[in-house]
Amino acid sequence: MGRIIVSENVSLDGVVQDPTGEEGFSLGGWFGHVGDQDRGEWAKVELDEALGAEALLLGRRSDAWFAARWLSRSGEWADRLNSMPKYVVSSALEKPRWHNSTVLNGDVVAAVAKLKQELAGDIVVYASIQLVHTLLEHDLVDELRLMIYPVVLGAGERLFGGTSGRKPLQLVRARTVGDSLAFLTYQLVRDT
Amino acid sequence: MEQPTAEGALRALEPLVGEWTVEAKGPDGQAWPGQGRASFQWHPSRAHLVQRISIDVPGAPDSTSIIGCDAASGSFAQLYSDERGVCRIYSMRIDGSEWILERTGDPFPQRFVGKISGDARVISGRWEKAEDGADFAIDFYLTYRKIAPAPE
Repeated sequence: MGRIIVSENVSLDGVVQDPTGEEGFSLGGWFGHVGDQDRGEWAKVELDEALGAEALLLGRRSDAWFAARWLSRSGEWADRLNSMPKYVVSSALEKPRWHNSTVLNGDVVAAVAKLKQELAGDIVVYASIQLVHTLLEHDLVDELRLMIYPVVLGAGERLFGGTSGRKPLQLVRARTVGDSLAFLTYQLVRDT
Repeated sequence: MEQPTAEGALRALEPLVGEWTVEAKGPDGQAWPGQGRASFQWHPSRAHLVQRISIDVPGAPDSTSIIGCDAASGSFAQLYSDERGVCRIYSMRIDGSEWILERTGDPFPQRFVGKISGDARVISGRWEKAEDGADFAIDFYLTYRKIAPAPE
């Protein structure tokens, strides 16, 4: 049985849009406002997560976004991300951009539930905000990992949209990364 | 009055010229993921060196710096800029064994101290900063390894 881990970089007010400033969002580029040391420590956390994951689960736009940036990179981190198995949710896409990818089409909820049954280990979701909203709404997320950047943006696409009900969480880990990043890990509490 | 020329000072920059890989480690000595590349090329004037650094880490800004000298004093300056729009001026010293960049003032004093290996193929350096304005602490280690000489 696999676990769905949603791993996101967010501003303190939950904005996830355009962290690197490459998409033209007027408030984008908030990755760039932390120092080199924080960025280096952040990269270590991200690499460790990638090394410990079984697969990535992505939406169509995020597949294209990551493929465009990582396929040209080299080194341990890039090699891991480029080679690990990926599942891309899309009703329209036939061939994902990133290496070693499988398309999940049709009923997303059923496809992801089946994936959880078939895989063992951590299935990590990066970005893919629409997909995250769907997974949260249907109680398919097992863990949330939030890397909180020290900025309030006030506008932009946010990690949490409306949910039809409350989603109780249990904080399982809180740590500081570098000097300025807060890394929080929550597990979803299932009603029993 | 005869003007001093920069030949001698500019010769001191020759060991930098070429292509390098760049690796970073945190203050704890653990490597940071992401590969970096640096290039140093002469500006067509042959009076300035253009330094470009890119790091394969999301959000890490690519930087471009211009290095030049004051011919009379033999001192150097590095004009740094990066994709964030940050621009800084570092005073610089270099000889066959050491490369030093220093800057005072806001947001904090910082300096780079690099040891150049005997064969000039490795520069083992560290960036330090003094957030309280006085006591320098290691920000991160940076190692340059030469992969190619300057193109002819």
